[in-house]
Amino acid sequence: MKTPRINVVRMEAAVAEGFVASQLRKNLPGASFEVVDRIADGSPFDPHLLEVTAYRGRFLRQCPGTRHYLCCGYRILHIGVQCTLQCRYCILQAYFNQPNLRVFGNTGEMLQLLEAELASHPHDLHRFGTGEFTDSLLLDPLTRLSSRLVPLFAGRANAVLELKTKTDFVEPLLDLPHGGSTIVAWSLNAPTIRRSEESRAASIAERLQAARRCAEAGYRLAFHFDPLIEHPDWKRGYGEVLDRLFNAVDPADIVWISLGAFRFMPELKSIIQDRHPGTGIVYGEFIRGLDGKMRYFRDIRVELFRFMNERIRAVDPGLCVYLCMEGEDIWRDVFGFSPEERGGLPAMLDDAVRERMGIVAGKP
Amino acid sequence: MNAPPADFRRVALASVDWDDRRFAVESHQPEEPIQSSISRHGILAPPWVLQTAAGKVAIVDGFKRMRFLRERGEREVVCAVFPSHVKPRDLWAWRLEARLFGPPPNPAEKARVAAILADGAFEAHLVSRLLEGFGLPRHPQGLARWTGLARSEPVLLEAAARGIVHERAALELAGWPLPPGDRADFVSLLRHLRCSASIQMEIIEGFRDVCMMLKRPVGDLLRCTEVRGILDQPDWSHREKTRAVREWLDELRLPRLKARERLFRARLRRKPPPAGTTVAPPPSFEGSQWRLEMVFSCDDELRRRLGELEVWVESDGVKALLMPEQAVEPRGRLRDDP
Repeated sequence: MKTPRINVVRMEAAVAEGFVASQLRKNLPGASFEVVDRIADGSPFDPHLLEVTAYRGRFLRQCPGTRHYLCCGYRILHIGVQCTLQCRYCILQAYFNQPNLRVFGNTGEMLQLLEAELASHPHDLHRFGTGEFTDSLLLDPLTRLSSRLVPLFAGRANAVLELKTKTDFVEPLLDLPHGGSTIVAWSLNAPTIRRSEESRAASIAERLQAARRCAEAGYRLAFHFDPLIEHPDWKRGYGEVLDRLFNAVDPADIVWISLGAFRFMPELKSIIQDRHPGTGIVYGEFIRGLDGKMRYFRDIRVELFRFMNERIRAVDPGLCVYLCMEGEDIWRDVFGFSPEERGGLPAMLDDAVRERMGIVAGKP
Repeated sequence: MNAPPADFRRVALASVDWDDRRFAVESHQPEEPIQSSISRHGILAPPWVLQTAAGKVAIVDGFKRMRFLRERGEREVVCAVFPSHVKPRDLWAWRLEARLFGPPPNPAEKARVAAILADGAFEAHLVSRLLEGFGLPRHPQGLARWTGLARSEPVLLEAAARGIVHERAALELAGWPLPPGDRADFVSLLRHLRCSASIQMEIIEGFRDVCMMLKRPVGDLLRCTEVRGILDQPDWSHREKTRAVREWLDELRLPRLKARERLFRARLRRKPPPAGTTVAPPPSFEGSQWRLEMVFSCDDELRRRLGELEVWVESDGVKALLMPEQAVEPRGRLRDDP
C-alpha cells in the first residue's frame, strides 16, 4: 500500500515551524508548501491537498457513544480529520465542511494537555485512541506523529494508546520505545467487503503481515470487526478472516477484539447512494435504532455476533470480545451476560489491559 | 432606471414562429382557466415576443394565450415586442424577475428555471438571487437534482406540476436512473395511491431498497401480481391501497422482523394477557423497553386486573413471549418468482 499522494501542503502560519510541519517538509520533498494565516472550513475537496492547522478545539474527548447503547468508554486523542481510504461505509463522507485531509500541527499543545490529563488522574486507567476522525497511521509515514505519541505512553502505569488503522504503515513504529503501552489495532472485514467497500485500504494479507511485524516488535494488538456487514456467504467470509488472523498472530498478543454491526445516520444513505451507486451495503433489514441510526434488525446482529464470538472463543476462550454500541439485551443474547454484571464495559476493557498488558493502574 | 426596451404594438399571429420554443416554461397546468379568462376579458397582460432576423417573432412569455388566440381564429394581438438585438439572456432575466412576483411556481416550472439558471449564462449574483427567489438550492449538488427533473419525462413533470407526485418525490424519481416506462408506471402508482409527500418518499425508498435486495428491476415490482392485485381492488379506498402497498414493501424489506412480529402475535393469541391489558414489544424489537397498558374504571377493577396480571405473568409461556428468540429465516420474494 502506498502513502497518500500529497501535492500541496497548506499550513497555518502558527504551526508552520512545528514538529509536524518540519516532518512533512522532510518527507514530502516533491510537494509545494503554502503558508496562510488561517485555513477556513468548507474549502473545495482536493484529494492531493493536506491541511495543517492549529487546532483550537478539544484535543481530548470522550468516545461519542449514546446513552441508549453501551460504550467502551475509550477516549479520543484528536489528531486530525478525514482519510483518503474512502471506505464506502465511512461516516467521514458526511463531513462536508471539512472534506480535505487535515492534521493538527500544534502537537506540543496536544501532548501537554495529554500529559496533564494523565498526571491529574494518576490512579485511573486511561485508554486513549486516535482513530476516530481519521486513520491513526495513514499519515504517520509523513508526519511521524507516532514518534512523539508512542514514547509518551511508554512505561506509564496508568495509560494505554490504541492506534487504529486499515493501513500497513507500521515501519515508523517498529523501533520506537513503546514500553508495552501501545496497542496497534486493525479494522478487519470479510474479503469480499474488503475488495468492494474498502478497496483503497491495505489488503487483509497486508494488514495481518503488519500486525505480525508489530507483535514481533513487542506491541500488543487489537482487532475491530466493525462494520460487520451481512452479505451472501458472510459466515464463510468472516470465518476465513478469523482463521487467517489466528494463523498470523498469537492470540495471546491480542488485547481485545471488538464487534460492531454496520450502522449509519439516515442522512448517510443518500450520500452513499450518490457516491457509490454500485454498493449494496445500505440495502438490508435496517431499522431505526434507539439512537436514531439505522442498524440491522436485532436478530441479524445477534446472529453475526454469535457466529464471530463462537469462532473466537474456540481459539482463545479468555480473549476479551466486546460489542461496540449495543444494548444489554443483545449482550445477553450473544454472551449470556450483561457488562453491568461485570462492572460495566469500560471495566471489562480495563481488566483486559491489566491481564494482557500487565498494566496495573486503577485496580480496585 | 433602464426599462426593458420593448414596444407595445399589435402583432399579427401569422408572424409568430410557433416552432420556436426556446423561451417556453411548461407549467403542465390545465389550460381551461386561462382560456375562460381570455374569453371573458380578453388579453389583460400583453404577451412578450422577440423579433427575429427572418421578420418573424418568437414568443417569450404567453405561449398558452397566443395559442388560444390562434385557435379562436384571432388575427393579431397587442404584445410587448423586443427588438432582435436584445440578448436572450436579458430576456430570461427580465422574465424570471417578473415571474418572482406571480403565483408560486410548481415543481415543473422550478425545474425549468433551475435548468436555465444552471447553464452558466448569468452573472453569479443574479443566479443567487433568482435561485433564492424561486426556492431553489444554491449548492451545485442540490441544483443538479432540479436540472435532472427538468430533463425528465413529461409524464413526471406533469404529475409534479399537478401535485400528484410531490416535489421531493419527483426529485427522487427523476434522480433514479430508470427506463422511461418504469418511471411512468411509478407515476401511475402514486396517482392511484394519492398519498402524502412523506409516504410517497417512503414508498419510493421502499421500492428502491427491495429492487437492490432482490436484485430485480423496478419494473418487475411495479407490474408484479401483488401490486396489480392491490391497485385493482374495487372496494378499497386509496388509503387502504396505500397501507397495503406499504405493508407489502415492509414484508419484502424486513422479512425477519415481520416474521418475529407474526410469531409474537401468534404467541400472544395463545397466551393473551388479562382483559383490559395490552402488551407491546419495543418498536422493531429494538432495546428492552416493553409496554403494558391497562384500562380500568375503578379501584376494585384495578385491583382485580392487577391480580389477574400477576397470575398471567407467572404462567407458562409469558417468558417465551418476552424473551427474544431467533425467528425463522424467511427471505423476501415476489409471488411471481419461481
